[in-house]
Amino acid sequence: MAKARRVLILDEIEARPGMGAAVRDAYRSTYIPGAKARGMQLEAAWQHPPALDIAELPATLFWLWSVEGESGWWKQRLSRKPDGSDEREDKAAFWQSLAPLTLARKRRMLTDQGDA
Amino acid sequence: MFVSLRMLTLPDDLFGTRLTVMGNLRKAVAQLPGVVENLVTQVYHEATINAGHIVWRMVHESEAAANAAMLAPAWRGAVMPAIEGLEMTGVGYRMTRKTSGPGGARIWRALLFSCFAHADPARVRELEERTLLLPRYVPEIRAWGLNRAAWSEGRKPIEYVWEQEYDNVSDLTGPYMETPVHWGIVDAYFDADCPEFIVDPHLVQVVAAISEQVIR
Repeated sequence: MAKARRVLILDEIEARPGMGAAVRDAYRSTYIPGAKARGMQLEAAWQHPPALDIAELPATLFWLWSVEGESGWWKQRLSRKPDGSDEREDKAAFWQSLAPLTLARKRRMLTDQGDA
Repeated sequence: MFVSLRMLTLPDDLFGTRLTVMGNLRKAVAQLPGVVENLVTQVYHEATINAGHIVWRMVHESEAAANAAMLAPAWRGAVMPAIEGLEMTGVGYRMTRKTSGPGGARIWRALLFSCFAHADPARVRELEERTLLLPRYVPEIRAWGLNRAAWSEGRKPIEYVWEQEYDNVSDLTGPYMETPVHWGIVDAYFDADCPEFIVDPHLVQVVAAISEQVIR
């Protein structure tokens, strides 16, 4: 049986000037535990400007996740709360709570170029 | 052509009557004027969301013919009594954006959805364009239609009807779900984790076994 291809999920969030730390904290404390519970594995977290928060500038924060194959991807996407209800309302509420702190964000699904 | 698609849900105490309801509904529709095709069948037992128990899909020559059918005496005298007590979700739409298949498909699926009222129209257009990539990249989709609703009835408004035909349900649960076009591109509009999220989470996904082409 062929090994499931690794699917990467890259979040890129541009925080308003001075809000980088607040976005980072909210993502760490709220988003990461839920994502891990949905089977997502955190591969890396980066930021620009590098190495320090500069209050005068926007900050771009990256989080790179991985899931195993399409089934792993759909598992995190179609996740349910313990009571069986759709988790999308909670996900939407988190991103809405972040919106006042941010200028823009992207989420992109990636694979190795060798898969193309 | 204009389609009137309805999904019927039986209350628990009437569930045992579904085959009778279907038979009565077929007879009642036969009395309606201007019905070109009529499909009344059970909702498939897997891969459905909020679809209820019975699919009822009528095709009319035009929207005017569909409206006229609902004003015919047989609508009040035969159709409505046949479905009394059932919950109904319905949508009417012109079949203008579609590709028919070669025939032989055995599964019909429709996803009924709407976008948030505040959704950016440019995003809505993107969603349409990207959805239309799916038939190009998923050869298991034998026929398809992506059409906007002219009207809808039921608990929630419905804006879009995205229909496909497949040879088998496994083509829907397999290749359609596994293509990167789906999870890597189109699904972003349905995914609360993505900034493209504009589709109301209340979806209706209805699947039915078919013996002849539905999308024509």
